[in-house]
Amino acid sequence: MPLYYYFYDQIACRKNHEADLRRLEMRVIDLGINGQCEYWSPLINLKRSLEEASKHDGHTAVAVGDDQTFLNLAPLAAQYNLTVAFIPIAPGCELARIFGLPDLITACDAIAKRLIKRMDLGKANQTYFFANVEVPQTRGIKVECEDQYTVSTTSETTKLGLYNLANIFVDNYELYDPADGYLNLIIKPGIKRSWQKIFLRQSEKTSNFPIKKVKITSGTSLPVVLDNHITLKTPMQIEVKPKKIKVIVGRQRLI
Amino acid sequence: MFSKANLENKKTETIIGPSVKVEGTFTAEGDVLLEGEFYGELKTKGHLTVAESAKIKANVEAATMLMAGEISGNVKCSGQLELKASGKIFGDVEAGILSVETGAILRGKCLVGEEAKK
Repeated sequence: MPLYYYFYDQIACRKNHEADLRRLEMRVIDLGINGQCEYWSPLINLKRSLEEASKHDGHTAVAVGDDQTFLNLAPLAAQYNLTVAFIPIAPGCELARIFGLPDLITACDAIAKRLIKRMDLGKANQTYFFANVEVPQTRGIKVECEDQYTVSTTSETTKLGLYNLANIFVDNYELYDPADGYLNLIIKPGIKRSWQKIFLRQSEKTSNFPIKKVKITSGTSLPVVLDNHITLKTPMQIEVKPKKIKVIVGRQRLI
Repeated sequence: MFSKANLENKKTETIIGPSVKVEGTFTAEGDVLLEGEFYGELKTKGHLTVAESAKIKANVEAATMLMAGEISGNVKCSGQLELKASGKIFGDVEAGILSVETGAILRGKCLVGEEAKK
């Protein structure tokens, strides 16, 4: 049975990526890392595919697509103890840059070399996430850290997030160490008006708490977004699971 | 912006910004920068910076400390405690080394030197 399972996202199957896919297929054959291909669609149960891969001694799940493809696959694959790899198809993939896999050929070579880095995962209630958690609305929110202290804010327009790696979908994102055994609770004072951007940016500093466990509660249930694609509701307990995921990285990685 | 060196510099640094209030027992391994409000008990094995805007009602313990804000509570610092001109401490102080700038306020007992390090 194959040891490598390639999960092709719909973006990878678009016509404009046909040539890329041919190059990819040739490269994996040349390197002897070819395996089973799964074409991702709303009808495919990703969990079941990963379970099958794990049952049949598969050791690596490869996300072929864009950043979101990796974020969808990685936390699930880690639960089945599969090493995760990423082959970027779309241009401008931030995760590819962070992992040191700037193009698909470099990514294939990295998979063959198997330079593996263990990283942390976050767990929000029963759902795992890799990069970040965003809480878009913070009115009436209560944040309790490490069962020891509470954090509150005097600003009404505060933005709150928990970061294992980064929110790669915003401009000028901050990068955090995903292997330090902590999540970073970040509280940013929101800016209401454009003039405040000029005068307040310097004085209003972002708060940063490296934490292992946090409870978020609120009077009314508020949405919490995991890895930019899963929306859950408060109340929520979020904790870090250190070294829970194995990721194949390149030599030029940023982390 | 995204270099490995930058990542290492950021490791375990806690920043409590000016619009943030923390209540309870806070224990940190690394450096702490406090610009907001703190109530309870604060301990860190690293360096604690209390900015001018900070207000603390807590007993505080740190390896070294730079103090420019206001603390109501006892302060224990095994290394150097640097009290800036804007700094106010209303409580007892124990420090390995103490430096006080002109204009700073310190109301409480003060124990400085080897005895305080114990």
